[in-house]
Amino acid sequence: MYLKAFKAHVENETGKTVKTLRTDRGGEYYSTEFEVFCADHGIRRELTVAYTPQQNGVSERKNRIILNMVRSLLARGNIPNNFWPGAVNWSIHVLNRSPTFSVQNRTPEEAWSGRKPAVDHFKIFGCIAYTHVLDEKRKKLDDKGEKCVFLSISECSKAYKLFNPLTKRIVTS
Amino acid sequence: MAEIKDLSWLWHFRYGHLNFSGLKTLQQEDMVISLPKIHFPSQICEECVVRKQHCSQFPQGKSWRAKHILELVHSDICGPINPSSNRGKRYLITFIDDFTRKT
Repeated sequence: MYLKAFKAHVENETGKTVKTLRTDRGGEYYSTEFEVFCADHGIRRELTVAYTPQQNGVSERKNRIILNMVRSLLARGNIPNNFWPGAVNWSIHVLNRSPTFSVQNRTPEEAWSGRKPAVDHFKIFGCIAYTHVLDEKRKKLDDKGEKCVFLSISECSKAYKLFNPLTKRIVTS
Repeated sequence: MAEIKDLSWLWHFRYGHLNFSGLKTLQQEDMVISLPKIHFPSQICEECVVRKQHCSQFPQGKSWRAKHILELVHSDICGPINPSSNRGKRYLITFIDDFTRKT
């Protein structure tokens, strides 16, 4: 139930409630559990006619925009395709700070939060990053940095998400 | 099949269910010999409706736009994506606020 998490998150952030949800008739949106959740929270459902993705245009177009960016990011950085979730996260982060036709003279991020977003933290997806190894975590003569690959930014802390190819782990730094 | 009541229908069928304005053009512009005068019948041809049915165009643009944050949220699931991610995930779900387009 990703909707649950999404709803809690956005309602906390904006102080407003989700009124209407427009989706297709995928099994995920069509379960009894989902219906009950929406009914309980007074969310109006707008479902497309079966096999008519044209009626869900905003979502479908956004998927295309996101995946186009993901493909470019992965190709440009020579990143293996299984890193797509990182590329998706970063694409959405960038797209929320990019102009869009539907919202004039503001980025979606500003329209959403009311604050003009800063972009000085932008990095090229897949670029090489060096993490600083904290003094507590190393011995005197160990390396003070570790070579990593930039993936995205962390949602929870003020930090980047990096991939360490030696340990094959994603680190937040 | 509808009863062949008059010449208009007869020629509609003879011409392989050609539409009536086509027949009219043929006749008015004198493009073929010995085609009688055609008038538009008030009924519609059932075979034409059933066998030539097509999907009408989708309207460009949106039905309505939200005027407040979270008034309308678009959502879709995208996938399965191959290969699956490092954690074995294959799908991606988006939630888009209609008013601000924040994703």
